[in-house]
Amino acid sequence: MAETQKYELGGQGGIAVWTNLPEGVTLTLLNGAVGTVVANPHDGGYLLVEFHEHPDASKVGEEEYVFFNEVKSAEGGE
Amino acid sequence: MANLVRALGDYSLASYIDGENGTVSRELYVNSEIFEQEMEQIFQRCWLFLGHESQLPNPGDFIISRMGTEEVIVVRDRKDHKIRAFLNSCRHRGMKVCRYDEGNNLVFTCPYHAWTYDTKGKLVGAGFYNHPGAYTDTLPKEDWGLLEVGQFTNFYGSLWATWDPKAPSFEDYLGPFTHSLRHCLQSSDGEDNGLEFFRPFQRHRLPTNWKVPGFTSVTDLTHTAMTHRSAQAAGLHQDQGQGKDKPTKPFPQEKYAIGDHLLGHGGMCTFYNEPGVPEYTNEWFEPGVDDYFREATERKGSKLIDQIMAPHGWGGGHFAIFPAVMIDSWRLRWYHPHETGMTERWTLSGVDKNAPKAVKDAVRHYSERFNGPVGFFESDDMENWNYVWPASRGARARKANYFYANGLGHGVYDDRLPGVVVNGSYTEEAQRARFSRWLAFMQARSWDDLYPVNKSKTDRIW
Repeated sequence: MAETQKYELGGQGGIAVWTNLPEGVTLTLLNGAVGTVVANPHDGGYLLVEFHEHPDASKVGEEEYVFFNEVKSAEGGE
Repeated sequence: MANLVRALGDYSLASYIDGENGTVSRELYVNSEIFEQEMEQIFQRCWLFLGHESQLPNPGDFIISRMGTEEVIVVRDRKDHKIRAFLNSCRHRGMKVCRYDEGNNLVFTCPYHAWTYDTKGKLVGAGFYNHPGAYTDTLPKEDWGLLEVGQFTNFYGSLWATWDPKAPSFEDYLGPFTHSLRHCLQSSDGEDNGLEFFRPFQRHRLPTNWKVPGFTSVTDLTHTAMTHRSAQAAGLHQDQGQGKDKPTKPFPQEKYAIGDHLLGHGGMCTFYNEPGVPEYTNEWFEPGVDDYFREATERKGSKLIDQIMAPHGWGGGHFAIFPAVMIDSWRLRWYHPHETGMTERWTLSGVDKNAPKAVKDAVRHYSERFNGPVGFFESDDMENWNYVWPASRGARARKANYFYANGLGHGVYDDRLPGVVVNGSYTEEAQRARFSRWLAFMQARSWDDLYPVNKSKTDRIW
């Protein structure tokens, strides 16, 4: 079974990793929300994410632009 | 803003234009306070040309255009596919949110504090927006989207906007020129919205006032003989049917200089007196191109077999929409003021969107020969426009007036274009009409003073 890819978002290299994260990657946010990257504007700041889990239940299934400093981890996809 | 000019002394705006003697003060071109007043009272109110929908074929496509001295983002939304226009200025601190001329975007992210806007202009994010120690409940995103134009319209593929939500509809703004503009946006076979425009388009920066080219480069027939003499000698027009195949049956038509003193539009105009279209007579260097256009012209003729074509200018257009758009021969040119003495001229060159590649290539090559950086005609014109500025703005020079009396007093009204003054083709009727409307805009407090135009209290000052 293939190991789930984890993306290192910290340090200098993390900026380029974030900027180029592909669609399908799962993000876990600092507030506990979990979602999938559905689009990347490649602006180095944001990713468009569809939430599967969210502390605010009304946001589950919704898409929102997530800023890089709201994210705890990124994994999976591809 | 209407009081700005009064600081200069005892001049009133109307005193700068001598309608009786047909002169215009050079102050209108060189005075920076008048320029600022123009930006407020003309470019904030008028319908301005932004571009063509063929520049934005896909969801997320955008172009940067201009309205007066300001940049606007023209973008096709990713979801509803509508085209909208927004000021290119972040609502937070005013930074440009887009610094590319064109492209395809998900969002426009401000590089300053990461306020980010979607393709509907809605604020969808701000740096630290969700941080517990930041904006908490103080930034209602729905109130802080990009500033959208007051009105926007897609007129047969051409995109226009005004900042003023109280401006009349675009068709009312065009008045009798509505059909002429529609005609210019048709393909050679007469299909509406039949053109596409080459990308990237051409830009020239001119060290001159915007009115130098904007008010004089249409219907300025007297300049051609001397200014373009060298280009004529080079035979650049040979491929456009000058002097070769003459029509075997001359099509009944009349050519004039025309000016709408109430709305400000005007230019060269051809009135057609019979249904149908003139016979195709051009000659292109490239093989097959004449066959395409001859067949297209025949198709157009069959569509207009019982209709008289809308009046339009020579070569397909050659008229101006107030304040600063010129349309001729598949080209839309518009003049963007940057400063009192700095103007950018943009040129969109079009071609039938359904034409074969060989035809599109031939038209593009022709456009480049004509307009391009190494083209002939436009560099001729720009040489004049550029030297007008330094030779007109000095302390002595600016006290003199420009002569605009060519044909003064000889214009007549013509029922074929109601309200429009028709004059000899070498006269300056169209320029005078633009100054009539210029003065009306500069004096008006709002659109209530500008439209509907009061025909009994004519704005003709000449």
